[in-house]
Parts: sequence; C-alpha cells; structure tokens
Amino acid sequence: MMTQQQTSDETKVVPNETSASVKPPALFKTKDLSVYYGSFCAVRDVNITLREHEITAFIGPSGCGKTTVLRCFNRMNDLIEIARVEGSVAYHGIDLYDPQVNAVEVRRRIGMVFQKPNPFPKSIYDNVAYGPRLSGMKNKGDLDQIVERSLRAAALWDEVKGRLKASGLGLSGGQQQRLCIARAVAVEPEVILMDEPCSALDPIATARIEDLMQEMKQKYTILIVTHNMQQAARVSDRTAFFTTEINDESDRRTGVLVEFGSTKQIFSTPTDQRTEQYVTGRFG
Amino acid sequence: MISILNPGITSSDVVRAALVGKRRDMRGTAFLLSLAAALCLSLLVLVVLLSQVVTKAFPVFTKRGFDFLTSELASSPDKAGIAQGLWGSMVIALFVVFVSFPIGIGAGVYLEEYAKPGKLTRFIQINIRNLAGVPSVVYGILGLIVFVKALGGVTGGRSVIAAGLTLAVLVLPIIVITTAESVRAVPSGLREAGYGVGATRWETTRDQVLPFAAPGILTGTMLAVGRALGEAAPLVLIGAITGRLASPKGETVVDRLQGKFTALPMTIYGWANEPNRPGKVTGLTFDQLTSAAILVLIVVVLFINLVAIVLRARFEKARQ
Repeated sequence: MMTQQQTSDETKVVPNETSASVKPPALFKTKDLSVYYGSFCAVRDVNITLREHEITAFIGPSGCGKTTVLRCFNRMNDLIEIARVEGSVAYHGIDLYDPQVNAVEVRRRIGMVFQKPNPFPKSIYDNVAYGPRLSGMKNKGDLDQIVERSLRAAALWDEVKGRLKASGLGLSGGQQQRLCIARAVAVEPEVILMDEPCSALDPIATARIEDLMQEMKQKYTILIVTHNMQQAARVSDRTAFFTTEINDESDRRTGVLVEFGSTKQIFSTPTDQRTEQYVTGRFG
Repeated sequence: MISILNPGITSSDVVRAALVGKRRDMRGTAFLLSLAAALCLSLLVLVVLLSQVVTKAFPVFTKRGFDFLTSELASSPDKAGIAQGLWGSMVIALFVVFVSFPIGIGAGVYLEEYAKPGKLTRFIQINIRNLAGVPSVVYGILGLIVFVKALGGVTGGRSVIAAGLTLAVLVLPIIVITTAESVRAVPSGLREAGYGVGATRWETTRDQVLPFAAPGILTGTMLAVGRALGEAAPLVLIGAITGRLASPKGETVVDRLQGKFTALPMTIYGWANEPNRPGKVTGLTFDQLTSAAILVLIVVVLFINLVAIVLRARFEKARQ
C-alpha cells in the first residue's frame, strides 16, 4: 500500500513541478540569517526565498538548525532568552526583525503547528475559538462559524462535531495535531509553519495530515520541517537541505543551508555532494 | 564448563540453576524493612500525639461544650476559653490571605515568567530561598522593630495588625517559591501554543500559565496559611497576651484590631505554663484545656488543607 501511495504521489509531483517553474511571487526572503544561542552560532548565513502557495520542506540531520530557522519566520525564537538573530527575514518586503514590528502581530499572520501536539487543556471548541477571541471576537454565531470552518479545514469536523465541549486532550494524537492545525487556521493566517508535525504520529495519522497539507496549500503558504525525507519528497514543492559543519570556536557544530531547489531536483539531481549523500541515505 | 566435564548434568540443568538463583538479596530485604520501619515510626509518633491530645481534650468538650470556644481568657479553668485566640488567629489568616497572597504570587510569577534570567535574578531567587529558612523568631524581631515600633501609629503597637503583617511577611518566601516552582512546571509547549496563535505575554500568562499552575500555587498558599496559624515565636516578641489577662475590647473593629490580642498558639503556650490545679466546678485542669486548644488548632488547619485539596482537585480537573 505504501509503494502504491508513493508512486501516485510521484505522479502528483509533476504538475507541481510545472507550476513551480512559473515561480509564484516571493513571500519570505531571508538575507544572511544567522541565529546564535549565547555565543554559539546554531545556524549561519541562510539565504532563502519562500513562495506563496507552495509547500517548502526543510530537511537535514539533527542539529542542522532547520527548526531554528523555521522559528525565525514567526519570531518564535524571541521566547528563548539567549537566542539572538542576525541578518533579516523579509515578509512582503518588510523585515520581521525591524524594531517597529510587533512579534504578536507577526504570529497572528504566521501560524505555527508544533512537533508535539499541544492543545490547550480546554474544550475542542475553546481551543479553536481562543485565537479569534483574542482578536476581540465575542459574537457566539461568528465564533461557531469560525470553529466549524476551521475544524473542517483541518479535516476534523466530522469526528468531533458531536463533542465540541469535550476536552481537546481526550482526542488521539493525530486528532490532537489536526486540532492544533484548526487552532492555527482559525485566526486566518497567511502562512503556517509546521515543525515536524508528524513525528509523534502513526503512519495513518501522518497520511491524513499530508493529504490535508495538499488541500491547505490552496489557501496558505506552508513551511514544514521534517526528519522524514520521504515526507518531504511526498508533500513539498521545494526542499532546502541543511547540514552541520565544523565550527572553529566551539566543538558544537553550526548549521548551514547546503542546497535549495525544487523537490524533484533535490531528490533526483542534487548539485552538492552532501545533499546527494543525505537523500540517498548514505549519511545523516 | 561443569556440564562438559560431567556428562550427567545437561545444559538445561545448568541454565535452570542459574535462572532460579540461590543468592538471597539480604541487603535489599534489610533496606525494605528499614524503610517500612521508618514509616511505622513516623506514623506511631503521630498516633501517640493525636491520641493523647484527643483523650485529654475530650472531657473539656463534654463538660464545657461550645462554652469553651466562646469564653475569653480567665484565671479559672472552669471559665477560660479560646474566643480571643480564635479571633486573633482568624484575623492573622486574613492578613496572610490578603497581604501575602497577592504579593507572593505576583513576585513568583514575575521571577519565573518575566524576569530576565541573569545574575541578579539568580541572586534574588537564592535569597528568597534563604529567607524561607530563616527561623521564625527572627521575623518576630523584624515585626517588633517595624510593625510594632516604627509603624506603631498605624498598627497600634502590640496589636493583631502587627502580628498579621509579621506573619504575612514570614510566609511570603514560601508563597513566592511555590508559585515560581508551579509556574516553572508549566510545559513550554503550552506557552508556545499560546504565543503561536498570537497571544501577548500577558494573555498567555493569564489564559495558559496561571490556570495550569493554579493547583500548585494553591497548595503553597494553603501550606503558608497553616504555617502562619501555627507560629508562636514571633507572637511572643510582638507581645500577644498569654495567661489570665482578658484582652480589652474597643468600640469599633479598628479599635479591636489595634488593641491587645492573642492567637491560638499563644493561648496554648500560656495555658501550658499554668499550674495544674483542677477547677472547682468542672474539675478540669489547664493541662486539659491546653489539649483542647491544640485540638481546635489542628482541626482548623486540617479544615484549611481540606479546602485546599477540594479546590486543587477542581483546578486539576479543569486542566485535563
């Protein structure tokens, strides 16, 4: 069954590829983006462009800084006291790290789904309604509508419509992660960042989330970090390969962006030897 | 090896012998026994204490009944009661609730959630921990100097206000520490989830961090109230009344708050020092009255703990 799915996905990659060659408009552009934890440079000099309505995947071995870079796109690294960001991340041409930019507003437009499903210890309804309520929405009818729309968008509505008042923590792992996706889309963001969203899920739940991502692509720009190369190959339009390299100042390794291109190119004709070794499973 | 040399023994015999194991775990058994002994001993102490208090206190409640709770301090064990002690302890508990809860919880949340980690924050945290270990009599001296002498105009000197404030300060470090620890135990995924949908720091603290930390904070605050109710040493320094002096009553509540006072631990302390002559009417002694007052104090503290447990269960249910 798995091989069947893979072949069907490969055929799906072809239309993506033709659309990618048209090049949709750029949404994010990083310039010499480096992140430090204290004096340690976790990842350095990342220059990458993410395009609208595409799924971009970050792959690479552990510690290569892919999650760190992802968390720069909605300023989630602000929460880590010792983290320091250098360079710039332009979103619609505006630097997200400009002192005038409000990180809270950034996160309302650029939603996030985390590695471990982390629903609030509240009802399913309140989980989804939390974001809209923060923006001042109080009308019960409007909230009901948003909750239903978001849960439908996350392909969870049919499973939970009868128990919206039940705790979100009572759902299965895969359902919890879809609840987190519903929570993220409820505030109508433009971008959704996904940090290894399926690493805690079983293959069936993973397949559902991957299908969901293909649907969500019509409306959102998606950036996904994944440990799973097959997942990157299945779902993404473009792939960025990160790796670690020896760092002069410390014994820890600094992450670097090795290669970025269309997913098909990265997996079939990588230009860098390290990419080739990684995607063929010879290292990492 | 042996099986090769002795053809009579099969390999399965050797494996069986190894699996059955003849080695007795003597040390492990000794360890288990000593743990059980430690538990029994501590329970035994508690049982002896409680049974002694209850048997001594029992006649007081059968002969005096509610009269014991509503009577004031007196020189005769027939008449002496704990009314002023109960009132004083209640006022002290209210001071702890209204003064040290908000300040302590606020300080704990600030330290953990807002303060930038650094040398200064660490220094403050270590010092608050040390403050929690300072003997209570030291707080009594602080109370005497600050609340009785320096602020005597407001507190009325050796008053229940001075005592309430002193004990509020005494338990402050406990509340700060338990709050900070409860806040630290909030999973970072929950915070990130809040920030991830565009909540501000205040909104995340209010909606995610505090509700999740609430059971832990509650436990700490209730422990603090229990501690404040049981303290006698600071009250000695502040000058709570013991013995036979009836506390004068004022016209208004403020007068009463600023006047002389006593609290349950001080009543107990005072009665324990009384001569042990039985009263002419009831035949009760101050020794028995002491036990009865101790029993009341224990019941009050247990009741507070019970309330804490019920509230905690409710909060914990809310976070599932």
